[in-house]
Amino acid sequence: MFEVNSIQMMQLFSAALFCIGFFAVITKKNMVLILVGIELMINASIVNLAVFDHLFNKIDGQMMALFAMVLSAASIAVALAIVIKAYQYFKTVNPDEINNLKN
Amino acid sequence: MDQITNISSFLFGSAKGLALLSLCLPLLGFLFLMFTKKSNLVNIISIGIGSISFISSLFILIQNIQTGNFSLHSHWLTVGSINLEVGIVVDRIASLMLSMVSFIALMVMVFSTSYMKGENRYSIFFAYLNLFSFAMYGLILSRNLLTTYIFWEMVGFCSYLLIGFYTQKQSAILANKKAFIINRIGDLGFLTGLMILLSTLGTLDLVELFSRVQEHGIYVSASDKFALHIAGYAFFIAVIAKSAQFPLHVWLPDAMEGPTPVSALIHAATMVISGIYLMIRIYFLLDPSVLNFIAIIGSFTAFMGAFIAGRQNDIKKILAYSTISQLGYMVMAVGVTAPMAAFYHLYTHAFFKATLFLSAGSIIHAIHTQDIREMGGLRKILPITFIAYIVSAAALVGIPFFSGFFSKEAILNETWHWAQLHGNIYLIVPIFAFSGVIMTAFYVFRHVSMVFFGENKFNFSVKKENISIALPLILLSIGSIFMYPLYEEVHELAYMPYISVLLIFIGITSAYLICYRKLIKPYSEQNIIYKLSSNALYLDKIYDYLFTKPIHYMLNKLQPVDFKFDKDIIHGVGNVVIHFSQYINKFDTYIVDGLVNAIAKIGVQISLLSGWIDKKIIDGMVNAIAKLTRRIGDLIRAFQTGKVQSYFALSALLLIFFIWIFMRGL
Repeated sequence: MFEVNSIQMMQLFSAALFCIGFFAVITKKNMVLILVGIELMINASIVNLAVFDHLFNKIDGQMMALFAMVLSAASIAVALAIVIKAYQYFKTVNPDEINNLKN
Repeated sequence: MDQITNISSFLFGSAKGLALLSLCLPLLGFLFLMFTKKSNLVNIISIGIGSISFISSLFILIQNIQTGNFSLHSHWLTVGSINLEVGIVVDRIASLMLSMVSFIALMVMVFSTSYMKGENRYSIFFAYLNLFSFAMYGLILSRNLLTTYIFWEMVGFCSYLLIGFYTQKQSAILANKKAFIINRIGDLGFLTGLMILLSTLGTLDLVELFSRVQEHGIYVSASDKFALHIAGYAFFIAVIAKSAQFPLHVWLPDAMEGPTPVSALIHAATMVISGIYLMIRIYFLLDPSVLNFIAIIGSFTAFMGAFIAGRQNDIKKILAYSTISQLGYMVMAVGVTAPMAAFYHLYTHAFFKATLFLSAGSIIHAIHTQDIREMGGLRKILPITFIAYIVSAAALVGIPFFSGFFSKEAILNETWHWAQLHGNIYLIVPIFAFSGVIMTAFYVFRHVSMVFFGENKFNFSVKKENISIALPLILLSIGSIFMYPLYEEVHELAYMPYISVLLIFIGITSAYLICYRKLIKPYSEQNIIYKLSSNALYLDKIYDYLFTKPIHYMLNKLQPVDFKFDKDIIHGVGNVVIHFSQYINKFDTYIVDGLVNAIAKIGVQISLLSGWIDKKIIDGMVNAIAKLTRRIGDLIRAFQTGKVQSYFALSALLLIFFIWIFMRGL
């Protein structure tokens, strides 16, 4: 239907992935699913890295992508720990009910 | 705990503490009695307090005799450069006075338990008596003249309350008003004296004043001399009103409308002598010309009181005029530079006059009349009252070996000595004094013979004296039998006792011949002397015409109270007044009222306009601002949901917005 090259396709894919993650983050009523959304957004950016690396024909970007994956796994582990602690404290994982910032 | 024992050992262990205790207890009693109704409790409390005060005053007297004067004071307040101190001073005079007053107060309270029995406001009566005792002790013990003045006002106020104790009696209400208003004149004098003292000598402390006068002499400069001269007269005005001296004595006979125990306590034995007490206290401030004036007023009062008492028919009025006369003797004694003689007479007089009044109370209690013409032969019905009355009347007349003999003797001696020093016109003072003695014997013999002797006019049975009436009479009359050693005479004349006995004999003989046997009739009922005496020198009428009626006349114009105009003049004046007032009425209706109405209408319109402006414009502005604030608040409030996701979404959107702006700029 459209004449697009693979780079543009990949960038559109990355943007779509980011938007889906963002949507998940702002709409989901479960913190675990929010984490999933965050993971999606991180992965969208990693896809971007890989795409540009492919564009400039270098190895640095791919190394950076691998490195970012490890970092995101680590940060998600920390985030999951926070979610568990939050669940123990508030007895819920619904972020709407954790509205202590308001008071 | 240590503090409590300290305080109690201070209160009960030292004379100063005892003085404070006997001063403050009656005040507590007053506060308590105002709120209690049970008559048994009232009796116990007031007699208990009276006894404690009396016993502690005896201890104070003993302490004073053993160790001398003492005083107690502390700083009260500072006004400008003047330091006012409040305190008590107990010297020989104060301690004697305190024991006398507390004894008579106790006796009167005991007497009242039976005299006032079944009275409607029984507890209030005792509460007032306690308040009076407090004020009187304060007056006696006070060290500062300002606090003396405060207590002086308080005793006057208690006297006012107690004269008008029978509130349903119109005459009692009028009498207490009269007493209050006349005493006000005296209070003004006292206040003037205080202000002069404060501005010239700078202190009102009695001890300090006395030491200053002893060190430097009283007169600092000529203007001060004049000021202190005026101050002496001002204080004497206070004394005239409080101690019922000649021009202002008219309140005392009317004060007899109060209950008889009150007359005994306040209007014979204690309050009325506070004027003399004050003069003895500030005697060192009075200069010779003031003293001469005091002597003349006092001697005239002494004569006048005895003269008027000779033709009264109300037993309490007789005793009231007798009190005025005896007070005159005391004032005269101060005037003839013998304050200690005055104090001696004050002391003896308190006992026998209290006995006389309480005996009169006993008579009134028994037969319910005060008119001596309706009495007679009471010596068989009321024997104890009779004996007490005879003893104290003998003391009043000055029959040898009764207390009044010695004290009056001292005063007459001093007066005679003083008159010889001054000579000339001042001889009128002892003449008044001696004729006062004759008149005293006359009126005493007259009313005693009418009350106690003659045939018995009572065929109904009367109440016998019970113990609470008899006991005070007996104890008080013992006090009026023999009281010699209190005073050492300075100027003693060898023949003075014989003179006074002779004078008394003349008085009694004439009374016997004129009133009892009716052998001699020197005057008819229309005689001027008779009329003067029975109408109390017409002083009430004179005051009525001099002060009361003119004021009334000024107050209700066109309603002449008692002035007799010619009829035609009244009609003529009346017509003119009526026409004039009609014109004034028209003027009033059309012009003044019209103007007022017009102004009122304009005012209404203006206020309507301003009301509209207020409501629409000013309130509108305020409301608009309020609404705006509310809108903004609502808007901003919408963001503060407390939900993490909405914050995140918002910040993301803002990020996108700023990126958009940034990109567009590029």
